[in-house]
Amino acid sequence: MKAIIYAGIGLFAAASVYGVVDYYNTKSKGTLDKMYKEEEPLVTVKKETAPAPLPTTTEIKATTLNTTTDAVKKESKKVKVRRIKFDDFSRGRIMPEMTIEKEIKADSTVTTKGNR
Amino acid sequence: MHNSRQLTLQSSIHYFFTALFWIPVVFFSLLLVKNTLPYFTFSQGFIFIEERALLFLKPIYKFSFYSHILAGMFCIIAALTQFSSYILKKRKAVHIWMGKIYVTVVIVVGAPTGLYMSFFAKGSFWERVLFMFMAMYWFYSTVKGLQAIKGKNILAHKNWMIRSYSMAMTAVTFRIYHILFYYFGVGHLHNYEISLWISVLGNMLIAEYFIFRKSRSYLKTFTT
Repeated sequence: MKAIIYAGIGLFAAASVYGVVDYYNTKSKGTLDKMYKEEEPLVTVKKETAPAPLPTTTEIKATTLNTTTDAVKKESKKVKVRRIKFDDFSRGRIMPEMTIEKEIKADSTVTTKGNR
Repeated sequence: MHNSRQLTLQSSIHYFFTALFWIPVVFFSLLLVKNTLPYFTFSQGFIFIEERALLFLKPIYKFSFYSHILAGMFCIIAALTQFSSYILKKRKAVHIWMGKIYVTVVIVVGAPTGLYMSFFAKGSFWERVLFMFMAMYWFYSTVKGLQAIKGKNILAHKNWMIRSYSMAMTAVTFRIYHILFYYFGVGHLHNYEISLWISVLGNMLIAEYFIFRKSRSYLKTFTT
C-alpha cells in the first residue's frame, strides 16, 4: 500500500506541475477564456407568410393604424420548456426538451357568459 | 414490556431514517454510473464534450477526462458497499477488497486527473480553486484513511473515509442541485457555480455532522 501512496503523490505532483505549465501556456495564447462555448440567446421566430401584392397609397393610409396589432398577431414565439429527464443528470448544460410555438394575440380580452 | 416497545420503536425509526438516507444515495449513484457509461463510446456528441470542444483537442485533457470518469464510476460503486454494517461483519473480505479498489483508484487516478482538469474548470477563478481544493482534500482524506487502518485505528479510518466519500459524492449532489436550480429557472453559469459550491460545502458539512455525532472528542478526529 505504501507503493500506491508514493505513486499517488508522484502523479499528484506531476498533475499539479503540468497543470500550472499548461494553464499559463493556454493563458499566454489567449485561448483560456474561449474554452467554453457561449450561451445561445433565446430565439424569437416570425411566422413566414406568403408575399402580398404591393398596396396602393390609399390602402397604406387605411391600414397604418392596424399595422402594429397585425404584426404582433402574426408573430410567434418559441418557448423553452423545462422538462427533467434522467439523461440530464450530468455536469453538462441542461437543454430544454422542446420548443412550442405560442401565438401572441393582440387583444386577448374575451367576454364570456356564465352558464346559469 | 414498555421498555422493549420503546426499543422496537427506536430501532424502527433508526431503520426508517437509514433507508431515507441510503435509498436516494444508491439510486442517484447508480444513475450517475448509468449516464457515464455512454461516454465510453468516445462519441463527441455529448453536451458536456461539445461545451469543451477546444479542451478536448488536448490529448492529455481527453485522457484525464476518460480516466477520471472511469475512476469515478469505480469509486461510486465500491463506496456503496463500504458503509454496510452487514458486509463489514459477515463479508469482511468484500469490504477489504472494495476498499483497496476505492483507495487505489482515488489516489492513483481520480484525484490526480481531477487536479489537472481543475486548471481548466468551468466558471471563474474561484471555481477552479474549489475544484483544486476538492482534488487535494479527496486525496488527503483517502491517504489518511488508509494510514489509519494500517495503524489499526478503526475510528480514525471511519472518520477519514466518511470525509473521502463526501468528496466523491459531490459528483452526485452537484447533479441534483444542478437539476433543481435549472428547474427553478436559474441561468446556466450561475446554476453551475452555485451547485458546485453548495455540493462541496454541503457535503463537507454533512460529513462533519456524521463524524461529530459519533465522536466524543470531535476536534481530535482531525489529528488522528
